[in-house]
Amino acid sequence: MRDGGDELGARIESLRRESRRDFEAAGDAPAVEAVWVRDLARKGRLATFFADLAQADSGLRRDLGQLLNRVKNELTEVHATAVARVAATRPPVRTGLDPSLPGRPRWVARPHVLSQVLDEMKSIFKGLGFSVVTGPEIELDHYNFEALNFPPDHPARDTQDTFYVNDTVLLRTQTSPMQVRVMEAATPPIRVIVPGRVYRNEQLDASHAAEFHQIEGLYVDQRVSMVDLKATVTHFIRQLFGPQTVARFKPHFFPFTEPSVDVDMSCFACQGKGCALCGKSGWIEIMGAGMVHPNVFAASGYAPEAYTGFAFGIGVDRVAMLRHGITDIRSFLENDVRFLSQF
Amino acid sequence: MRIPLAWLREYVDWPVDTRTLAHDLTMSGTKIEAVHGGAADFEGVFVGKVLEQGRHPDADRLSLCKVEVGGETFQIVCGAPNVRAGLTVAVAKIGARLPGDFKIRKSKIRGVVSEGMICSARELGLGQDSNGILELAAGLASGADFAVLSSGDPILEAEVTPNRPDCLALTGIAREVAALYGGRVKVPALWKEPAGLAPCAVPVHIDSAADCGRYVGRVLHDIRLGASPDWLRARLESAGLHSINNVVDITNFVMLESGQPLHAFDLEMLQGPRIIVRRAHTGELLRTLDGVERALGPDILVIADAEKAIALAGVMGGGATAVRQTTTSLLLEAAYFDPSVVRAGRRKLNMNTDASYRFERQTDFEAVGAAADRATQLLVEFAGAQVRHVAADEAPGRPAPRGLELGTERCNRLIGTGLDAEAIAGLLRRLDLPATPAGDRVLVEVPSFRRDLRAEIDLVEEVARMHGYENIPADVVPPAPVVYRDNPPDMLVGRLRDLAVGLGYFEVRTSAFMESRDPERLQLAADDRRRRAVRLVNPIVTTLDTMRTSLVPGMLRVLRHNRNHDQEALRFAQVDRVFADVPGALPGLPAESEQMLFVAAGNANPPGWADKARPFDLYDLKGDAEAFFAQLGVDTSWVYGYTEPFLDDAASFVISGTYGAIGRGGAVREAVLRGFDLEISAHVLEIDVEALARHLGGAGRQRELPRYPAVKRDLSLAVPEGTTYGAVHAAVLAVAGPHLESLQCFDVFTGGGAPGERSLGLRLRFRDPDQTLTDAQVAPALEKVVRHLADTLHVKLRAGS
Repeated sequence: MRDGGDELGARIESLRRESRRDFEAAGDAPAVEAVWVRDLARKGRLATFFADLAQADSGLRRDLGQLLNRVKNELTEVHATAVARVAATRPPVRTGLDPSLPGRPRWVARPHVLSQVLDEMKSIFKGLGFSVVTGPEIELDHYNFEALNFPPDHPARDTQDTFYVNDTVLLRTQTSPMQVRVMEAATPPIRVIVPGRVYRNEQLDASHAAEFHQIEGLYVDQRVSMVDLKATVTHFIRQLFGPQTVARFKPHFFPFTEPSVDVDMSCFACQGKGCALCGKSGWIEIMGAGMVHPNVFAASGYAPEAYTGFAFGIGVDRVAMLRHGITDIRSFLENDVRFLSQF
Repeated sequence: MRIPLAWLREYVDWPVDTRTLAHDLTMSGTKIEAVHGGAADFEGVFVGKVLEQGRHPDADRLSLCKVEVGGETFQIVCGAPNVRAGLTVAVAKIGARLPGDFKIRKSKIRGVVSEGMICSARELGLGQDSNGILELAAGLASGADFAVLSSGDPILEAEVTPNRPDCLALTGIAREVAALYGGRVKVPALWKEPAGLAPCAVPVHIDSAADCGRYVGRVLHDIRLGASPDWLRARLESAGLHSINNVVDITNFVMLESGQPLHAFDLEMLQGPRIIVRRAHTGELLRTLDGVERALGPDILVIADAEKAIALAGVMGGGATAVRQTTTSLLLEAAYFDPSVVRAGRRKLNMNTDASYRFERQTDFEAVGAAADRATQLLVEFAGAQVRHVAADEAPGRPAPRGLELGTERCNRLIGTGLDAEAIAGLLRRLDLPATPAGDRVLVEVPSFRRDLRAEIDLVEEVARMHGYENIPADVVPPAPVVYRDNPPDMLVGRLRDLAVGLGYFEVRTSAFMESRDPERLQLAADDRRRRAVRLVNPIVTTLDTMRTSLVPGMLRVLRHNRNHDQEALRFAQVDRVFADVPGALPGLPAESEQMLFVAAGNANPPGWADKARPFDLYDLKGDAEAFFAQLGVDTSWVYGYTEPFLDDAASFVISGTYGAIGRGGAVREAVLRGFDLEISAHVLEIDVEALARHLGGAGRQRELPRYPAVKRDLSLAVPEGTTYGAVHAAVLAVAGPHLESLQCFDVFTGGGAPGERSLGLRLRFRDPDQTLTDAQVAPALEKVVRHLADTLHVKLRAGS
């Protein structure tokens, strides 16, 4: 037996007596309130006994439960009596002033939920020494595709339906072109993130938007390995979704990284057991990553084997939807006040 | 890619259950997106025979059938076009449970009782086909439990990435499975062309080895076209394909098995008969198998006979030479086409087929002959084909063998492992890659089925996934040799947003597109820079083909949306990008710049018992703007009137700082609002973020707090009609002297004086940092102000002040 039923019973009885005594002794409203907070509120002493009950021996649970409920009912009545009693002793009244009237209402504005999530993600990476850079949304095909090892007219381009301005200019489909622009402008060690809007020419529905946001990450130095990638990504996911979150790394294909990685995290709704949110798999796809491809180093003007590095890309909208249970990606651009004010 | 496990087992064995297999494949790079089948996900479904099929009395598209199931007869209404008497079908009896927990009940359909349902593959979760009911083999016994019959054949749905065309074949998947569990791939025994055949009957000419590296043409006679044997039908259906006839089915079967697409021509329809692989002529026409007449050109590779194009190489055959009921002899084609040529052609024609999908991802050059032989063997066996001639095999473009070297140091540096050459070679050999350790390197002869392995890095990935990503440690905290650096423009965006939120404006994010008519709606002049918008050549909808040049249209739409939903707090702000079709900072790209926009409409304050609601007006906007710039510590000057085409000239202003204009604001013109379907008034404030940034200094310096008291003097002024507050304000500042600390307008009212005259109450605050000012010291300054106002503006002191 974990806890003697008699002992628990005795403690409940002593609480009952003490609480009744204090309610009856309370002389004004604040004093009654204080006893209520101590004993009857949601985190009061009585509530802790209800929690203990779950630990108690099953044979005793029923009796103790009944006892607790009796005490709760009794003390609730005692409290009500005390409230009525002290109400007779009214605070001072001033003509024309009624403190119980509602205050003058205020409109309170909020930052957009995407900004909030973006800021939180940025600050996690800042803590790891990643600087923030931004880049053009209208981009050259060269940076969006060719320098990222998408050969012209290659099937890999089919995975990213693209808006074109002309043959050589497009709306960036990813924040990855900044990998090349950053490397062209600097020498390693490099550690940057690139937040920003990206565009895909897709059929629009609840989970597909033509405009959404990504955070690109890039870390290049002499000896960056997949160990660093896994450590960084795992740290990020645990910071954002809680320390119990597990990250899973699967091989995948992106033209501009090799080896490439698809990152899953354990579903935070069901702790990996499988639920509607994660499609019963227990895992949620959260980002793509990989080791920077030597051809990307070459396109950036580096000797392909002089450095190693990793890169990753995370969908900000998707993270915001997961975190806040947002079901329609179109809500972000609709800007309904009733939506904006929830976050 | 559908992987029927019963079929896959012909090529490889695995020692684990289906769930584990799916997991292991996913973790080694062949992502399994779904597992279908296995134990049947339904019960109460039995084999039945359709005895009679007639029209539903009350619905043209429905049939009324009598179906016999294990001796009992049921009346069932069926909507499938292929239901007919004599069919063997899957019948869900009353009480049956189908996937999705769908229960079958006795029901009336259009007034006729239906005692169950005849099922399609999709309704039973056995496939995607919902066009008709399942047609079962005639030999199945009526009354047999269909759940038992159909279970045990799970199908995996795999995502195959563009770099792994070899996994678009079951033998390729088998290689991945073998690599996981150390098994061997079982290759089907190869048919060998017998000796003593007549010479090749159909010569093949290839115009360009770059377009078509290899072409095998096999002539087959005495074809008996007909239905495929049950096993073949079952195989194709499990992979998601329809059975058509034995010849077509065999070509599809070999494609799914080997990844090599094949095509069969009706030999008698070939002119020559000969085959020419060439580019199409300009204006050349071809009616393809799907009945569409297509205009071709020199960027499209075709197969032609002596006269004309007969097929789109690697994409689709032509209708005229297609296999038909009367076909008795074939030319079977197996070829290697250049991936980019096939892709360019099929994109030009806007086509996408199973064949083109594989060719454009690159097929196995060496598999061409084997696939032709495999199909020949099956055609001989199952279509009565006779081989009388040697096959043509033109191979002008055989790729050079490729050898790669993998350095163990580089491999370990990238993956974070400590593997030696022997261990690395061992991992690669599991994938059927001939790998030999040589000191600190591993030498690999790239096989023809893995031409995606082009460079050392590709081998690193193979090593990493065979080693297992999960076996790479993740618990090492990354070192931090890189110093974090602030990005001031990015931080400014956040700061501006927070200021706006603090002023009570919701931050919003709007689309970067605008409607092409929006500049018109804003009444912008013909030469306005904001008419020079970047346009897309392939927008989603034609109205949204323009990158925004202004945040105003999007914001007015946010206003309209919330107004339409009865919201009262209508204050929004955003900091975001606008685009213009003029050269930008980066070579070859248009200009992008950051803008900030505030928009407000409706009430200025929430109504409550204490305060009545009051409409948001120009002074609210000015107050917000003044507070905004005060927070940023930017000194501003304001000019009124002429501002923006979409703003009311009488109620707008331009804000400048020492380095030029920063922003503008005011009431939006009514006509403009109507263009955006807004019937309320609205105010906007627009800030050029880059211009603003030029005005922001570094850390502010502390100013000493004054040690001596200020002297306040109030003036009550009568201001004639037409004189603005701004003029009075400027006149006071001009002459009040160095001790004037601040000038505040505390009252404005009309009436009581001459017509049109206004009264202004001004409070002047004087202070000297070094001494207490006396009345005698302030009086001359005040007198000077009063005199100057009277002389220059005819502003007089009101009586009594």
